[in-house]
Amino acid sequence: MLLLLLIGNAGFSQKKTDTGFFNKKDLTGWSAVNMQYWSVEDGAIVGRATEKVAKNQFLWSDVKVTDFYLNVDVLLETNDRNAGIQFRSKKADASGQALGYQADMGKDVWGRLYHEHGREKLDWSDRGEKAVKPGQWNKYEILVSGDRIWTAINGKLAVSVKDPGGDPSGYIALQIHSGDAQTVRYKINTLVHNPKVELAGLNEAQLVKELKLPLNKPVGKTSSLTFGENEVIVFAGGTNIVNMRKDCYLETLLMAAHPHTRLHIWNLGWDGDTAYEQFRDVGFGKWSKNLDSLGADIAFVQFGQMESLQGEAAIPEFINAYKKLLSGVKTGKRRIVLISPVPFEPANLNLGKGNVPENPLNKAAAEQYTDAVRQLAAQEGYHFVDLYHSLQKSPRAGSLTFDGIHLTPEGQQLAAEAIVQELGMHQRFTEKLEPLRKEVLTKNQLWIGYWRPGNWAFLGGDRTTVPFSHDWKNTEKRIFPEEIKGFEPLIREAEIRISEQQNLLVTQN
Amino acid sequence: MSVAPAENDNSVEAEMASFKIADGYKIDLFASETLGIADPCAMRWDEKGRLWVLTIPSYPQPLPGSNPNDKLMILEDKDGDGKADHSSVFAEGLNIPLGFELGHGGVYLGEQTELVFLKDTDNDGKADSRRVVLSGFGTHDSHQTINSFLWSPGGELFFSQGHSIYSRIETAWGIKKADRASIWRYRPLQNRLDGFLDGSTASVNPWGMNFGEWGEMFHKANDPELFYTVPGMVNTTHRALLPPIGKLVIKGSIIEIIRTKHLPKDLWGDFVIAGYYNNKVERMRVAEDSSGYKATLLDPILTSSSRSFRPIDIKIGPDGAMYVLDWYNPIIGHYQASMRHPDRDKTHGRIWRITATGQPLLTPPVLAGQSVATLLDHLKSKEHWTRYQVRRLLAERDFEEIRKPLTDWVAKLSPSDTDFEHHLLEAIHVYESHEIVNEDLLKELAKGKEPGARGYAAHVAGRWADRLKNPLAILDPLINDPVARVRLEALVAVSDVHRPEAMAVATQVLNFPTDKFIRYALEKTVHALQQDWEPALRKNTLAFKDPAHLAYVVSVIPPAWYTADMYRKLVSGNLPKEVKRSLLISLAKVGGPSDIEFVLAPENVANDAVLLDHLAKTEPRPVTQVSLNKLKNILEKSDNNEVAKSAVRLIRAWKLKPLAPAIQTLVVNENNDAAVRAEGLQTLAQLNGRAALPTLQKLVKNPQTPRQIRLAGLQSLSALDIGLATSATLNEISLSGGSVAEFKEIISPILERKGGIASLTHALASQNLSKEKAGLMLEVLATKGINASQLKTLLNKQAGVKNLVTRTYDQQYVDKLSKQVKEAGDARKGQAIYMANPSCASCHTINGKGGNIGPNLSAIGKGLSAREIISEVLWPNQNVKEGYNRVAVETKTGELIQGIKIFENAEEIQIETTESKKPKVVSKKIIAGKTETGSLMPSGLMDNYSEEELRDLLRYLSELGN
Repeated sequence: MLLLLLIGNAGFSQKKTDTGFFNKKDLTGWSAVNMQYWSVEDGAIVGRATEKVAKNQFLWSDVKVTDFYLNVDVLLETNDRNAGIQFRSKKADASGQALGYQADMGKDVWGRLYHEHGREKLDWSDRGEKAVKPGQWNKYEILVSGDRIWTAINGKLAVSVKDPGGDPSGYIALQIHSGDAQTVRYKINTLVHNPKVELAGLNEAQLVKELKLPLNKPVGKTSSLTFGENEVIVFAGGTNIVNMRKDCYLETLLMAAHPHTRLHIWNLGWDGDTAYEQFRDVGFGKWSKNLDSLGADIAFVQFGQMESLQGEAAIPEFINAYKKLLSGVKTGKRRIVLISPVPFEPANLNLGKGNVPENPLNKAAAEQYTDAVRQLAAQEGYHFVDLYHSLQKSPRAGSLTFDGIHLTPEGQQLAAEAIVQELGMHQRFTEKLEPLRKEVLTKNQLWIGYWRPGNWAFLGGDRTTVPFSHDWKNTEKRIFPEEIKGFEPLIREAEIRISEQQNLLVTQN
Repeated sequence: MSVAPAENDNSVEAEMASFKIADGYKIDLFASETLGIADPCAMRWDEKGRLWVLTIPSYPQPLPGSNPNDKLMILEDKDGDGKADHSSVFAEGLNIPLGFELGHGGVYLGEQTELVFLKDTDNDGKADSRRVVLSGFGTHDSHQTINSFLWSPGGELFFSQGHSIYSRIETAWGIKKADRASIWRYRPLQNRLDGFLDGSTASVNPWGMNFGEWGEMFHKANDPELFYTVPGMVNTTHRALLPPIGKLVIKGSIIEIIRTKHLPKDLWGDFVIAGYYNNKVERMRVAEDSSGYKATLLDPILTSSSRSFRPIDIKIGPDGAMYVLDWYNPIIGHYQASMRHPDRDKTHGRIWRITATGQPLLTPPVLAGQSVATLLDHLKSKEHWTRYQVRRLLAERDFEEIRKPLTDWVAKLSPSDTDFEHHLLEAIHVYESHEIVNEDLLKELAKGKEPGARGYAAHVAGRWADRLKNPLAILDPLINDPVARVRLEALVAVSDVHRPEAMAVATQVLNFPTDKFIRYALEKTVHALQQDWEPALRKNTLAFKDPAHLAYVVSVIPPAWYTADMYRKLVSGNLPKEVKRSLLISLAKVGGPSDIEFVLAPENVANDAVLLDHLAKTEPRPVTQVSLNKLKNILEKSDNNEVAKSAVRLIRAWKLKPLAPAIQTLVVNENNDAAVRAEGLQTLAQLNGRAALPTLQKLVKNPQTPRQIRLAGLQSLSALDIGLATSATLNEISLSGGSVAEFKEIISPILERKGGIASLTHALASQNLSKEKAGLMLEVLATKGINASQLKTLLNKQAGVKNLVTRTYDQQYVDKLSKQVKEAGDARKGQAIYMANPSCASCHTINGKGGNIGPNLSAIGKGLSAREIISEVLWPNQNVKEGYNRVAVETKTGELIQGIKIFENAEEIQIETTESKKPKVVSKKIIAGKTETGSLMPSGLMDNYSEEELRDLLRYLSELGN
């Protein structure tokens, strides 16, 4: 810890005005998917929609911001329309939708802090609204330093939020909101990186006093998870992950949420895997090696449920083990999603009638382990999905497991929906997805036959020299590895059938 | 080794003709492949007298993209003529399930990683619902996945897994782990799973359990051994090898305990075992042996000359006949033949029915759809089949339906009935199977006259320990029971009572004579209860009835916080020698100089060589002049040569240099015992290093020096100076007239040193050994299992072997040779060759004679074709039998140890070598390198045998077991 602090303080950042941000003449350094909406007039960027707009439109700056001060004069015509300034944001998808903070503008939203495509409302005070001159030019100032965000309208403090675990950096983008025709003018006065902390006549100490926590706290960093073409996704964990291979809901929903994207999903769940131990037979390859050899771009990892049976006292040990395990698979490019444990349902562990022994599930600390995993995700920059509370809030809670530990198919479906929702995809499972799920199941059955076949000892373990895996006549020749390769074209074909089902979803729409 | 050539005639008639049945029995076909039961692997009866059969044609490995279609079939004999005439499919599309059992209105089935529950919910005779009950069982070897399911009398589902299986199962009681062979116990109503005896500590491949009339548990290994399981039912991760109670000559699985009036009286209570390896239905008689049992092998009930007759399950049927499930396959070896070997039979499978001639068959009672009261009355049946079915039927009823009739039934039992206590036992089984505690019934059984009743009461008190107010109050008298078997059951039960005082209750078994079973269970109990007794002991809140009891516990697990003073206090009592010794060792480990003086006091060491040897294995301890004097005193005055030798070894291990002069005096004094001097010489070499070379050389070179000392000298020289050792070895060779055994002693020291083989080879190149001596040395290499090709070539040359043939693997050669074996082989000549070659018998047993380190060859010809034997003999590395892989270890001091690894944990490896009967325990701390490859059997053993000799030897081997 000490070392980290020293490094953090070593590089004092210099205050710097960005002269290349906007040249007041043209849109050099700015881009949008639909440039027809954007232009420069009288030194101001103008976003103009002459007719109804289907989707939000954003004009993205090339300049990445971390700590900054932005001063813009804005004119929204008419005031009942909606616009905003994104900052520390990123593109959510190919259509240039934004993901991140937005200094909002428009009637009833002026001076509020919204989290676009993510947590939504963060600071909903009406201080800014009161300072606005509707239909006129208004001065909008944004000051961001560390996890602290302030805005001011016409010199009056509007937003004041401390957002630990929020988006640390990103881009600025200007918005035209979907809806009726509108024009919004952004006259950019200055952008300063690493600014002095002062705003609306208040010094840093005074500004700090105004800070409060956001209405919606960050949940890991779910907001920035996107899936690219041909990316490899792996699932890893214990029996609840193993069962996803059989129930297939999460895979189906991910595929359905990305009908245009070919994804390769491999379930590496192994019964009894914990953060402490992932037993594999000789020659099978370690847990981490499996992730690497499959070229996993995204890993969904779920540990902590069985571990939580050891109680709260073992949390530090658990987190250490988890951290160490994940550090072995952390790469610059790989995105890791930590899924929290699911809640235990002690009543579903049938202990007989009458004089029953103490229920061991009552002592489990799954909720505390969930919080610990959340913190781990925040610290290490992993995404986090709080499945624990999502399932606990479900009206079906209490009947989602068959033995108090493992999800029923219905529980699996709810869990899958909760996971995709937490990741910002609003995909529910419907009958329409059943053909897709069937194909996923077929692929998974082939996958398990290929990845973890019975008789591993003879295929790649410690018993490869005995006759079993060899040809019966030519005993030098090993036939088992050749035979197993026969799965490869079958899996590829199954994946093609999955994408066909994905395509059908699009055409049906 | 279990790959036989296919039979020429696979018909039922041909197989029938192959049988030789014991007098008084008759065998008939009950069902065959014509009813769709090809590749059957397990069978169970239901209450309607239908026989459920599991078939696994997709064994041993499904093809990619194929949908495995293994099935659970139901056979019926509708017309009652003793032959099945109808079959139906209950479940299909299964993937190599190895076992199942009926229960709770459905079927528990072990399939790959899962234990599943299949149910027919719409009564159409087909399973339509499937629920995973438990998952995470290993699948690394598809012939060892979970198997041989059976209900205990108390309604627990037992099953087992084999040697290559590693399981991790998530349960509410944590992740249950079992590495390698293990026995599982599942309590369905609590969803509670517990594993026992993992680490292959009670057989490499357990397959088949059963329970005696008073609930005594036994299990059969797929290997020859039979086990009394009870001492191993202590729930702890501590591993120790459970001693078997008897064994077959060769492999066999499954136990059926004969309890039917139909079969001859003489068979009642005997264990019948499926001798799949040598095509027999075997019979063992099990008798009480102190707290456990011992088993003796009797003549088989059935023998077949067909190598495809493969009995793998045996069950007494509702009519009292013995039903034998016949896998019918020339190949039973999973790994010994190619997965796609065409002789792996996929089309046959039979069930045979053995009846007693002249004895009427039984008419089974109607059980299906009967009232609880009627069912309860059937618990009085003498027929085990009936009681087994009824227990299962009662277990699946709602308890509310049972409560009243059961209470009434128990109330009406007459204490004057000779079987009164057994009826109570059956009643408590019903409560157990519903996880309902009935303390009154338990207490009544605990006071039973019948030891079996008391023993079982103890068992139940353990099972209900987490629900009884004071389980120890029930167990305390039982652990002090006059009958050893009851004490053992009580001890195992106490290991489930997680309270500190349980340890004090358990150790009361020490007030009685102990035996191997009780000692085994007690040691495990100390481990199982460690979390309970150790903290209490530390807080001084745990009182033992006798200081000797505490001393025992501390001798098994010395607490990390125990001080020297505590040990000093404990050890002052009157204790059994082993306990005292263990405490003294612990004391030596933690104690200071004065404690070492105490440990080395004459009253402790004067007659305990073993103590000194154990001390030698501890890290060197602080030794004062007083301690040195005590040891010196032993060297000078002890008339116990074993103690003197051990003292010398201790001085060597602790490197007590100040005693070097005393050792020197001892070594050169010709009046001293030669063995002590020999030991002393090695210590001298260790203490003085190269400074000891003059003494060493002088003694080694002098032919007058006793041979034992010369050999010890060779040992020490080999460690100090390979060059000098080589010339001393050559000198010794020239002195020796010799036998293989003598030569082995001479050259072993140099062979077992790093660089020794090379040095010896180099030196021998310029020597002219006599043919005889070269021949003897070749034998030594063979018996030691050493592959040293250069040395062998040289010795072969010197031995004058002219027709030396190095045979490399070639399919055509194998074909040709196997033809010759069949047509021209002479088994008698072959036997003479075998007998004349000591290297074979040094490792292999034939009919009880020979070494045990290699596989038993008594029935090698029974399961293995000539061509397979050829490969085994000529190219032993090609197909190493499970558990016979060679391990070679090099220690940090340059010692080489090789043999078969029989045990390994984090601290040590136990290696069985060709040299000694006891395994060599090698601490991991001293290991510098380790390789585990191939077979211990050297290749090239037959290089100096002619084709004719080889042919005859192979003929002899291929007839073994016939």
